[in-house]
Amino acid sequence: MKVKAVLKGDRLYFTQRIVLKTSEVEVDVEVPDEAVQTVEPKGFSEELRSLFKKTPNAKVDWKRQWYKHLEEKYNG
Amino acid sequence: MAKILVDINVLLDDFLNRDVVCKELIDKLVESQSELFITASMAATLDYFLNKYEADKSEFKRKFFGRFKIITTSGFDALKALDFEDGEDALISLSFQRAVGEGIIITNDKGFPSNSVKVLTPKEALKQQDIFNNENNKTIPILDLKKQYYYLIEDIDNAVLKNIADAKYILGSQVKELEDKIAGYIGVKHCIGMSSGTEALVLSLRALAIKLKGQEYFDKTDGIITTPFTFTATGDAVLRAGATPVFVDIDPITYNIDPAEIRECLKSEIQNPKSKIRGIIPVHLYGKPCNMDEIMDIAKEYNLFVLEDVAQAFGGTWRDKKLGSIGTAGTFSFFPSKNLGGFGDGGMVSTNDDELAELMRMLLKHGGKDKYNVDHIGYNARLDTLQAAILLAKFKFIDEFNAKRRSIAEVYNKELSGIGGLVLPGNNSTPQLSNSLTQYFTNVHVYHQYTIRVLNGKRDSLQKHLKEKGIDTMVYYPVPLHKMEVFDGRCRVNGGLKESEKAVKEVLSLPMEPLVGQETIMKVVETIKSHQ
Repeated sequence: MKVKAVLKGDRLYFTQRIVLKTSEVEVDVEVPDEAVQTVEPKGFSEELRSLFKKTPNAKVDWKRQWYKHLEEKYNG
Repeated sequence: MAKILVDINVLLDDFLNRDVVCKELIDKLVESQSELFITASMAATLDYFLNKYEADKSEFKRKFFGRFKIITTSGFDALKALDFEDGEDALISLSFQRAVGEGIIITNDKGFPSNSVKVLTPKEALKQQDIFNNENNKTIPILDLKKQYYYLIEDIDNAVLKNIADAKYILGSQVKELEDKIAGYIGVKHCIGMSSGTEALVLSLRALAIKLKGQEYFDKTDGIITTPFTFTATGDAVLRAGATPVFVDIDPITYNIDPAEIRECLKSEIQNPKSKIRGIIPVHLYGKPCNMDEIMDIAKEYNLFVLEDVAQAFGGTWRDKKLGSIGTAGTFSFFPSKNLGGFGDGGMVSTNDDELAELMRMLLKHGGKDKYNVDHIGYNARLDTLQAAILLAKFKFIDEFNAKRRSIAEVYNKELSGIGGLVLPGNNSTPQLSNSLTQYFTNVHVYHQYTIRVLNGKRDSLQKHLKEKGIDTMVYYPVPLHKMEVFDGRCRVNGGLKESEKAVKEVLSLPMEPLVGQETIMKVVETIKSHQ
C-alpha cells in the first residue's frame, strides 16, 4: 500500500505509524548528474606512488642511502 | 588476523623503486584484514625519503596511516636493542614483539634480527595465503579489545605516556576535561567521573537519599522500581543505598522494563502503608533506549526520581535526546567492554541537578568538601586520571564506533531474518512521531549487544554449535536478579516476572566487535543457519 512521508533534509519521515517488514525500502528518486562519478578507483600503492614528485632513476638500496645520509649529517 | 610489520625497504621498493612483487604484496595486505604496522623508530627514515623525493607529506600521512598503525618505541626497547649488532633493526623487532606478541616482519634485509618473530621476504610472504585470508581461522570473539587498541594505538599510547609523565595521577586535569566533554555531548550541566558504573549507581542513590530524605541512606521501606533482567549491579546498588529493589517485568520485545508493569506495580504499592516507592531505575539494556516518555510521565504523576542506567547505551538517544540527559540523573560505565570503555574500571554520573552534583562530588572523595571537613559517609570512588586520559582518546571515536555497531546489526537483521525459531532485536533507529507533525525524533539503539532470542528450547544447543565452530557468544543474563541469593528476602516482586524468567532461557548475544569485516559477520550468520 502507499503511505505518505515528508522529506526533511536527507531524512524521510512517515506521516503515520507503520510496521516495516524489511530493514530496506526502495524510493523512486532522481539523482542529479553531478552525483554520479565513474572514476576508476586507484589501488593503495598507485595512490601513494602518485604522491611523489620525484622518483629514483635506478633501483635504490634504501639502507645504504639512509646510512650515507646519517654519515653526512653527523660527520659534517 | 595476522599482525604484520612491513620494513621501510619494502615500502620504498613499492612506492619508489616500483617493484612489482612489493606492489602486489602491499596491495594484498591492505585489502586483507591483517593488522599492519610500522614502528615509531622507522618514522625518521620514512620522513627522510618523503622529503628527498618530494612527497605530498600530509596526503601521504592521511592515506598511509589510514591503514598502517605506528607502534611506540620505548626506552626499554632501546636499552635492549643496544645489545644487538644492528641496533636499529633490533629496535624495530623488539618494539613490534612487545606490542603484538606473535607477528610477522616482512623485509628484504636477510640479516634482520628476528628476536623470535617470524621474518619473511616479500616473495615468501606472498606465498603464505593465511596472511591474506580474510576469514578468521581462529575464534571469533564477542569483542576484540586488542583490535580496538591497535586501531587507536597512537592516541592511546600518547595519552598514557603523557599522563604518566605529568605525574598528576589523582583527579588530574584529564578528569575534568572528560567530564566537560561528556556533559557537552550528553547535553547536561554536570558530569561526575566515578571509579565504576556500579559506584555511579550507588553514589547517585546515596545523593538522592540525602537530598530527598535528609538522611545518609534510604530506609528499607523505600522501594525503588527496576528490572530484574539486568546486571546484578543495578539491584545491588539499591541495597547498598539502603532501599529495597522492587522488580517489575520486562517488555518481551525490547527486553527493557515495561512501563505498563511499572503502572501496575505503583497501583498496588500505593495501597501498602508500610512502603513508599521513591524512584525508578530504567536500564537501557543492550544499548536500546527504554520508553522514556511513559517512564517520565509515570515519574511525574507519582513524584518519583528517575535514575537512568546507561551503562550499556553510551551515545544512544530517545527522541533525539542523549540517554542520561532525560531523567533526574544518568549513570555510565566505562568497563572495557562497554561502547565507550577504558583500560580498567571507570564510570560517570550525568545530571542537571546542582545539589545532586555537589553531593556526589563530596561522596566520591570520602564525603566532604575537603579531607578534614567530612559531612557524609563517603567512598573512595574517584575516576583515575589515567583512565580519563585513555577515555578522552577513545571518546573522539565513539560516534564512529557506534555507527559501525549499527552497520553490523543491520547485516545481522538482514541475513538472519526469516530463520525459523529466532527472534531478532529489531531496527536500529525508530522514527518517532511527535504530536505535531512538524517535529520528528529518532530513538537510536547503539548495540552494546546484538541479542537474539532462540525459541523452542534450542538456545543452549545453538550456543554449543557456535562454540564448536569457534564463535563466542554470551548469555546476558542467565539468572534474573530476583532469583539471586543476595536479593532473597531483600526485594519485592510485582507480578510473576514471567517475561524475565522466559528471557533468561532464550537470549543469546552474538559477536559485536565494531571493527570486524563483513566476512566475519557472515561466518557467524552461516554457522547459525547450519544449526539443525
